[in-house]
Amino acid sequence: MTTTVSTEPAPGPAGPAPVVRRGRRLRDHTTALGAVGGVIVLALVTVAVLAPVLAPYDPAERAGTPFSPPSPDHLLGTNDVGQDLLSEMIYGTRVSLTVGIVAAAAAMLIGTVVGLIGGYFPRLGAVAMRGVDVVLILPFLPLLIVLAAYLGRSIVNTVIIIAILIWAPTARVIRSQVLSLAGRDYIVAARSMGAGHAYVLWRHVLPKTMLLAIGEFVAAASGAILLESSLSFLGLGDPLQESWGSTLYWAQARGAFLTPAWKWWVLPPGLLIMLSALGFALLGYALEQRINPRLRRS
Amino acid sequence: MAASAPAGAELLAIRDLRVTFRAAGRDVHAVRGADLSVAEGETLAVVGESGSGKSVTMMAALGLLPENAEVSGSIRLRGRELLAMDERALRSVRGAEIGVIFQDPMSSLNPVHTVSRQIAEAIRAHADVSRGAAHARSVELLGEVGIPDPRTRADDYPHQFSGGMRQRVMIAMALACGPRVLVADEPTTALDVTVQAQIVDLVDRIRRDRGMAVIWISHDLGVVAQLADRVTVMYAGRVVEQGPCADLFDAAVHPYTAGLLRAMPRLDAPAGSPLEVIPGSLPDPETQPEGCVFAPRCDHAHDPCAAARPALLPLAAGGGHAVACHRSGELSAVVGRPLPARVGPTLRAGTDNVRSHDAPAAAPPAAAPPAAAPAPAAATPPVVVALEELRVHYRGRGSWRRAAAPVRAVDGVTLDLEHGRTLGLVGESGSGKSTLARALLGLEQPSGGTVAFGGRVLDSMSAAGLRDLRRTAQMVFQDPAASMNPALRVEDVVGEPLRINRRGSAAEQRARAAELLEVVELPRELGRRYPHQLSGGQRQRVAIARGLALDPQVLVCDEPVSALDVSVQAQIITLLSRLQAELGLSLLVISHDLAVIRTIAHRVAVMYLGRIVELGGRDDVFGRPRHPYTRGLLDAVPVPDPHRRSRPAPLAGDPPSPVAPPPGCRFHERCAFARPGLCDTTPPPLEEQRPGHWTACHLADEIAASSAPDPAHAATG
Repeated sequence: MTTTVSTEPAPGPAGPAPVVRRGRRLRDHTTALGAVGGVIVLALVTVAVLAPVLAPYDPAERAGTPFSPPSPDHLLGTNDVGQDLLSEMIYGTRVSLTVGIVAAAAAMLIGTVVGLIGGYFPRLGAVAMRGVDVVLILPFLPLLIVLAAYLGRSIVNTVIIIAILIWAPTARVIRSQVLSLAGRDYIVAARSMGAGHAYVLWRHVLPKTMLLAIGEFVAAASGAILLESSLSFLGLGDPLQESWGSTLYWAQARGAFLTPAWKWWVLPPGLLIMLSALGFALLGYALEQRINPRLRRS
Repeated sequence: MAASAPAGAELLAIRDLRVTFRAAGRDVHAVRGADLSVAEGETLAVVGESGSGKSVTMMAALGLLPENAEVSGSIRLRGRELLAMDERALRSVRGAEIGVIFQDPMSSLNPVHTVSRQIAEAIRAHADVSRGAAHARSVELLGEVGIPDPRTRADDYPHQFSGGMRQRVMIAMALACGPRVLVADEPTTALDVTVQAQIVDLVDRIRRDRGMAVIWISHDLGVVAQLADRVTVMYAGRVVEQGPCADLFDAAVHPYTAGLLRAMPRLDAPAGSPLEVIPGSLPDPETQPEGCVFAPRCDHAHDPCAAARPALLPLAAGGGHAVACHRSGELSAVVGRPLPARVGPTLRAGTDNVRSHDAPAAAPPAAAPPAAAPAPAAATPPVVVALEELRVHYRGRGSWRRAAAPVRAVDGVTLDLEHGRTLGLVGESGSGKSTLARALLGLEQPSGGTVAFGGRVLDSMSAAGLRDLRRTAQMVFQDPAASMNPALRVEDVVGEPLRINRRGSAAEQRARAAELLEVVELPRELGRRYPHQLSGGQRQRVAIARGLALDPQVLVCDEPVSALDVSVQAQIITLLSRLQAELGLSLLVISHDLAVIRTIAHRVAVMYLGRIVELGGRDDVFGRPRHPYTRGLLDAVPVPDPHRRSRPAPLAGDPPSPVAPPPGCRFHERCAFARPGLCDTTPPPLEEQRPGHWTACHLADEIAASSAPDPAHAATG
C-alpha cells in the first residue's frame, strides 16, 4: 500500500492561463493610474503634515492689504480681510484630508459591519439591506443641509454627517463578497466541524473582505472630500476651521466670482478639491481592479 | 507520419501539432507533437485525462486559442492548411465546416435570446438567407435533435430547457450550417447518466444520417467504447496510442492505456475485483522531457525510454493500431493476458472484505488480502446513524399573493448507516442526495423526521450537544480545491477541526496534522505548502485527512472522486477503503457514478426525487435490480467494452421537478411498466420484498418475472 505514496510533483500553474497578454496590458494601465493617484495623495498628505513649515503666513493673521492680487509677497493674493490665500490653501489641506479620511474610515467600519451581517445572516441581512436601500435613495444635498443645520456646525458633526451618507455602497459591495464566500465549500466544511459563526466570520470571511474594504475606503475618501467641500461652500462647515470649501464660500460671499479675483481666489481651491478627489479616486480605482473579484479579469 | 488513416479520405488531419502557452516568462507545453486524423463519416474519440492536451488540440484546429498560444505543425481540413489561414477565412470554416459542442450548454448559450434566434444567428452568419427561412430551418434542426414540439419550444429561452435539452439545442446550433466535422468537447460530462445515454445515441444517429465525421473528446472510456470507430489516447500532450476501437479496448499495448483501462471502476467487472492504481501524476507541463512522457510512471520503462522519444508506429505494417512505446513489440506479445507483475503491488479496493450479508449466492472473492478480511459479517453490524422519515423541504420562491410550494429535496427517507460499512447513495442530479448528507451532518434543518446518532436524536439536543455530535460525522467534498481556504497552509487546513474545537496547543495541532498527512499517504513536508500547489489527488487526500482529524465515526463523502482523473480516482477509492478497514469508519458515499459506488459500497441506496426507491446489498442492487429506475440507471451506464454496444433504449425524459412531484409513484411518468390506476395514484411503500433487499415498486415481482435478467448484470453478482 505504501507504494501509493504519491510523490506527485505539484503541477506548476494549473493549465495555461488564457488572455495573459491582455491581462498584463490592463494591469499596466491600472498600475500607472494608481501610481498617479498615489503620488497626488502622498503630496497632499505631505502638505497637510508640513503645513506650518510650508505656509508663509498664519492663515488667521491679517498679512496684507485686503483684496490684493498675487504678488511676490502673497503668491495667491489676499482675501477680503487681508489673509494670505496660499497659506489658507495649505492649511485647508489639513481640514479637507482629515474630514475625508476620518469620514471614509467611519463609513468603511459601518459598511463592513452591515455588509458582513447582511451577507452572512440571510434573514437579518434582508432587513439590513432595506436600510441600505433607504440610505442610498436619500437625496444627498438636502439631507446634508438639514443634518448640518440640526446638529450644528463643527468638524465632528461634519464627519458624522458625511459618514452617515456614504457607508451604504460599501455595505453592498462587502455583502456581495460575503454572500459569495458564505456558500463556499470550505465554510460549509468549517461549519460541519462545529465552528461557530464568530469563528467562521473571523477566520474565513473577514480576511477576504478586508482588502475589499480598504479599496472601498479609498474610493469613499474621494467622495467624502467632495461632500466636505460642498458643505463648507454652503457655509455649513466648521466656522473655525478654514477649508477649501469655506474659502470658496467667502469668495462667493464677497463677489469674487464676478471680479478678476476668481483667478486666484476661486480657481486654486477648486483645482485642489478636484485634484484631491481625483487622487483618491484613481488610487481607489487601481486598488479595486486588483482586489474586487468581480472586476478582476474573468 | 506513420499513424495510418483508414481507407476513407482524410477529412481533418493534424500533424506534429505543438502548442505552447507563454505566460509571464514561463512556457506551458500543452501539446507536444500530436498526430491524429479523422475520415469522413467516422467517429474518432480523443481520450485523455485533464492536462493531456486533448481539448487544446481541438481548439487549435478551430483557431480558438488565446493570443499567447504558440502553435506549430500542420492542421489540414480537406487539404487546406488551417494554421495558415487568416481570421476571416477561419471564421468561414468554423461553424460552416466544423461544428462544436462544449461541455456546459448553459454557459455556451446566451440567456437573453430565444434558442431559435441563436440558431438562426448561426445560420445567417454563414449563409445569406432571410430571417424567416433561418427561423424555419432552426425549428427543423430542433426537431432533428429530438426536442419535442419544436415549433413551440423554439421561442423559449435557454433557462426553460433542462440540461439535456440544452445540450440538444447546442447540437442543433453546431449542425446549423451542415458541418462536415462535429467536434464534441466532453459534451456529456455535466449531464446525468440517463441523459448522457440519450445524447450519445443522438450524436451517433445524426452522424449516420448526415455522414459527417465526429471527434468526441472525453475522459470517459465507457462512453468512448460505446460510440467510437477509432480511438486516440493522449497523454501529456502526445498521442500514445491510436487504433480501431475494438483493438484498443481488447489489446491495449501502451502501458498508459492498459493502466487506464484497469484503473477505471466498471460495472461489468466481477464485484470486488482490484482496481489498479497508476502511481504519480502528469509530468510538469513546463518541462520538455527528452524521452517518453509516461516513462516516470511506467512499470516497463527501461533506459531508452527516458532518453529518446518513442515514435507513433503501427504495430503491424499498414495496420491501424499504432503505439508510441519503445517496448511495444514486447508488450503487444503479452496482450490479451494480464501484464507481468507490476513493481508496486496491485491495490485492491478493500470492499470485498465485508460481503453484503444478505447475498449468500454471491461468489466469494478469489483471494482477499489477509489484512482486509475481518469477520465476514454474519450479523448485522450496529447502526451508527439512523434516519427516520427524514424530510428536508426548502421554502420555494413564491409571489406575494401566493405562498410558494416547498421544494421537497428529501421527502421521507428512512436509512441506516452501519458501523464499519459503506453505504452508497446514487441518483441523478436533483434527487436530493447532497441535501440528505447535509441533513445528516446537522447542516440542514429537517422539516420532519429525525436523524439519530446511536439513539440520540439530533434536533432534541442543545447547541453544545449538537456541536459535539457533529464531530462524530465529518464530510469530504466533491471539489477539494473549493473546500479549502486557499489562504491557509495545508497543515492549517488539516488542523482546522482541532483549532475549532480547541484540542491541544498550536504545536500539538500541527503535529497531529502532520500525522494525519501520513495517514493519507502524503509526505509531512506537504504541510508547509498551500492547497493550490498540490495536484487534485493530493488535495482530496488533504480533505480526507481533515475529515479524520476529530476521529469521527462517520465520514460523508459527497462525490469524492468525480472531480478527479481516472488514474487518481483509483488511488482515492483505495485509500478510503483502507481507512475504513483500519479505523472502522462508516462511510456514506454519494455519487452519480454507479461504477464507483459498486467498487466501494457494501450497501446501496438508490434515490429518486427525494425518496429511496431501492435499497439493498451491493450485489443485489447491481446484480438483481428490482426497481425499473435502478434498471434504467444501470442500463444507461456505458460499459467500456466496444463489443457490447447494444443496450436497451435509455430512460426517456428528465426527472420531474421536486417542487411538484408526480402523484403516486414518483417514477411512473418515466417508467415503461407503469400501470394506470395504480402507479399514478398510490405511492409504493419501500418494502423488504426480498430478504435484505428493499424496493418501492408495486410491480417489481411482475417485472422480474417478465424480463430475464440482463446477462451483463447477472454476471456481476
